[in-house]
Amino acid sequence: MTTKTNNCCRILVLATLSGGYRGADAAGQAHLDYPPNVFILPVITAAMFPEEFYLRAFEIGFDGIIVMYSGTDCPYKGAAERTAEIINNTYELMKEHNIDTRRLRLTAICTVCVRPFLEEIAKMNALLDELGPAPRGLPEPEAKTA
Amino acid sequence: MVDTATAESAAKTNGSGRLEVDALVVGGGIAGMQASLDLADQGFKVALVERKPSIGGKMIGLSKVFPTLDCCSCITTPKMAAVAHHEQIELLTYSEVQSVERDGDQFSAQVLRKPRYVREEDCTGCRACELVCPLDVPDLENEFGRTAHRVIRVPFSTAVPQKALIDIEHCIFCGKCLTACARDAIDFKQQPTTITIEARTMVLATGFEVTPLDAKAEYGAGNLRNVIDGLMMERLLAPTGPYGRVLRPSDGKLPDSIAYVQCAGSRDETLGVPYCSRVCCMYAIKQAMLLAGALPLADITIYYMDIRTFGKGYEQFYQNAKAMGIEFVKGKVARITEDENQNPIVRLEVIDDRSRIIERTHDLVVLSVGMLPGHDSTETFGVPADTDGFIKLRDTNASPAATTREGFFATGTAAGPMDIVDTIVTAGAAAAEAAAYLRNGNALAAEAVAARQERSVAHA
Repeated sequence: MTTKTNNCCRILVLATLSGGYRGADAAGQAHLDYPPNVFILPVITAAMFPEEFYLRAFEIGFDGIIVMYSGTDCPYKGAAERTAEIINNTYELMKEHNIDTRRLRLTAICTVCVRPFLEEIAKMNALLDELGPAPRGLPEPEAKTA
Repeated sequence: MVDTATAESAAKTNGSGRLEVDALVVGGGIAGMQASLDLADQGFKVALVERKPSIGGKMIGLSKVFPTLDCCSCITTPKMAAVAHHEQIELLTYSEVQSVERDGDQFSAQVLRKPRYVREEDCTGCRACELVCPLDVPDLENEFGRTAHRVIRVPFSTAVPQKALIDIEHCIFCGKCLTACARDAIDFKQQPTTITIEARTMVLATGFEVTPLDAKAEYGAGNLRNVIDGLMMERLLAPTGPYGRVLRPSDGKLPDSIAYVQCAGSRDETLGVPYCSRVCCMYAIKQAMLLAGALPLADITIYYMDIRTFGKGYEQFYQNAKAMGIEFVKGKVARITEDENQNPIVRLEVIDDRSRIIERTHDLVVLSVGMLPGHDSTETFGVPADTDGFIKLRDTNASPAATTREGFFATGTAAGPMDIVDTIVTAGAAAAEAAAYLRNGNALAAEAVAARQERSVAHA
């Protein structure tokens, strides 16, 4: 299976070790390919990443972000709910910065979700074809005070 | 054995080494998890003890369930997470119940907590230790030795809890995990600890084992490399399996011809297993259908004595398999040998065709092995076993989960061979009966049984 490559846009995937990353791994093991504009970052849980992380990722050159978490399967207590809360907050910040909220997607991908993994990538690439690169030049996120 | 509680054990028992709960569930497979959730959702405090490092049991390793062909992992992992996150459930993995004593209405269970050599309370499951560990050992626990894991590892990707453990027998104490662990969680000095769990009722969900591959000399006694059992085939078919595809063990070839030998460990007096294991026909048909999808050009044959498709939708499933081109041959396989290329040769008498004796060569043979009891309930729990070795139930017509020892209930394959659908039903039944026992004691159940027996006598 060959997926269309979007050369102008870069996609960041936050893939949890117990979910999305295994789905990506299974896609690789099945010799199914996805475009080279996808950058997969394995994470323990996406709940570790604050709202500012996503704005910063758009700022430094990513045009779409997919958070592939484990949903109800998440082995860490409260992590799935916290991730959803962070993504919701991020949507508000994105609106404030005039970033199309469709550029950030939260999706549940399990260890065997090979096809859904590829479909999510294809959907985001199709969206980026329509939207083009994300706007840059956002104000620097404020430094956190203790 | 040193009897000092680790910090983790101490945290679970508030430092006392004792844990008080309403119900103690033994076994963290699908039956134990379901029974725990059903009890905890009613407000009872539950302790779930699992001997392996992760809950999930056999089901988490399977590919799909029959007859719906739903993904096993997708059904099991939410339950595993729900158990781990439930406020009313205290989860103790890598622990074993050693003995149980009765004190009035209370049971007192001695539970051995085996050392992980990693402090559970500190480990985050980041796997940094796994990346630096220089030693690989065969993964016998999950993959039947078909692949390897590091000496320190999280058991598998969806393990609950996500905590590493060290295979201390193979560790060379190089110390690389010590330096890699940001949480300083490695503890080579960890010792086994014992805690006491006090409960008012116990649910036994100790599961099953399968007939060993080497049980029958006629089938190669485990020496034929391309003769595997049903659970091994499940791993080959599972998306999370060792190769990501179906390859035969001897040479990694894609098999063109696969045969299933039914009743390879059931209905066989020579093995001491006279009963039908109830799941083999259906799992063989399911695997054959999955193989037909994974290897469209492969010939798949099922050699059977009887096909027993008794559940809802099962007969239609069987008919669908026949319509897909899977060949069903009636006859009991007498012997399996192999040729010079390690291709298994199956010899049998074909019953439907003038009782001819034939020999057929296949690339891979799968033995549909049967179910054996997973634990000796008499020794540990004082709960008598039936003649088949599974836990004896008091009165299956009136009380499907009560054992012959008061306050003890059995669920799933601990009580006898059954499939996943029935296992979940009996887990609900065990939880309901245990809940009634917790509320009313045994009085109501005993009255109901006595009344029914009186009526039976009167009718007679």
